[in-house]
Amino acid sequence: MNPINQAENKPLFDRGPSLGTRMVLLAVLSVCLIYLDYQQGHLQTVRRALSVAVYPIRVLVDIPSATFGWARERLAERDRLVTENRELRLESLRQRARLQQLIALEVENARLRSLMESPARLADRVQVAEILAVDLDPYRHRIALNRGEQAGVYEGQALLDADGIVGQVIRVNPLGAEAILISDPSHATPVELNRNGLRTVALGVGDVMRMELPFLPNSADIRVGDLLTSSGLGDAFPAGYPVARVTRVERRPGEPFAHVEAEPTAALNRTRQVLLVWEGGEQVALP
Amino acid sequence: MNTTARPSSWPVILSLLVALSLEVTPLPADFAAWRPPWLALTAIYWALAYPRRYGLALAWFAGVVLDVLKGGVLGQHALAMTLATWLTLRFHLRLRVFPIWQQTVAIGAVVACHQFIVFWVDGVAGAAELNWQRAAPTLAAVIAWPVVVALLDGLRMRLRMLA
Repeated sequence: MNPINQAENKPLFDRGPSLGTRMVLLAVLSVCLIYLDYQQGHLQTVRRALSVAVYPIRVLVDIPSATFGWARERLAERDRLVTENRELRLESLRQRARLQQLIALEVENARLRSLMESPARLADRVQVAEILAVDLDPYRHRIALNRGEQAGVYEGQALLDADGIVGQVIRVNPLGAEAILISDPSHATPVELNRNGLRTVALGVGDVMRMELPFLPNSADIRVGDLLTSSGLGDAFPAGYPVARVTRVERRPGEPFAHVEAEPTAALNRTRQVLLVWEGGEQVALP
Repeated sequence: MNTTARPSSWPVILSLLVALSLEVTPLPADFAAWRPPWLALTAIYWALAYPRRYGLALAWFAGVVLDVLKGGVLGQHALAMTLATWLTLRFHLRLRVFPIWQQTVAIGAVVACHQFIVFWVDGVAGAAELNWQRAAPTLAAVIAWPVVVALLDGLRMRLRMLA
């Protein structure tokens, strides 16, 4: 190799600051980023700009599982489709029958509300969003969604699936959004007992099949099998959606609080689609 | 081929993008903790291969992108990857001539430092649980390193990139 060219490639002396200096500079910069982002939440614009850039990676990673789902639908056997179709039709019939009752109940409810002169409740508007098949942090229960600002998603918006509350949106990007599940260790859901209206808080523990209700006294009227619904307090979730079912009640005489566990009703780790809720977003009021 | 031409950057960018994708590819729930730190391994590889071209700044920027991709605390992986790359560059003259098994052990130690920083920032942000699973990425990295080296060496060989 020509020595002059080699000198071009590998200078004899390093220029610029030394390796250690550069390391310290970048480390200080990282610590500043951590402080600003975690303590202050000042870096929304940086994160937004970069999130648009990384969104294609999330979509790219999601492609195999999306293709798999699509192929399974396309290549499904006729028999299975026919069976599925028949089941869905029966299900729809059952639902419609119940809906007829519901309409009567709604009318009655509206009449009672008007008697008590309380404002009518508005129906909630929902929109379907897909969960992208990407693993975020294994130690946090977070999901990535394929709807963002362009669909009108906002921070703090509640997510549902067919069986109950899934979580809430914590970060909105122009193209997608990130949400926290109710099972995340840093998440608390305000709930009330469907049976008697007892209000408490359900905490996530980092397990999709389990939540804890640590603030119930030993004398609280709660039993295994009780349904917990969202109470609407704290303005995070719309009231009246199922959250979890009580699976274990252990009264400990020596301690101030009972040990109560519940299982989320929503399929937190099995669902692929979730509903975004706009509370009272439907223009028509319930009759 | 003109051997004095600067090696082109696209293999580096491409391999970093692939590593970024691997960082969020869904794994079965039982293996979720066993994901090797692909991006850190790739950055370490390029730092060892071209210590004067790809170093701290690239690793730091890739770390910031990874933080945004994973939705974690901004700066967490940036700090961890800066430290890992600095250790690599500090000892690159020795690491480069090690036989592969010895290199793997050394890289395992570097990745352990990387994982410690990740865990530490998790602790500051209040999401830390110390259990045996925290060691899983380091062990996975020890298994993954020879594979990363073989694949990227193959890529460089095929493209006749400069040593």
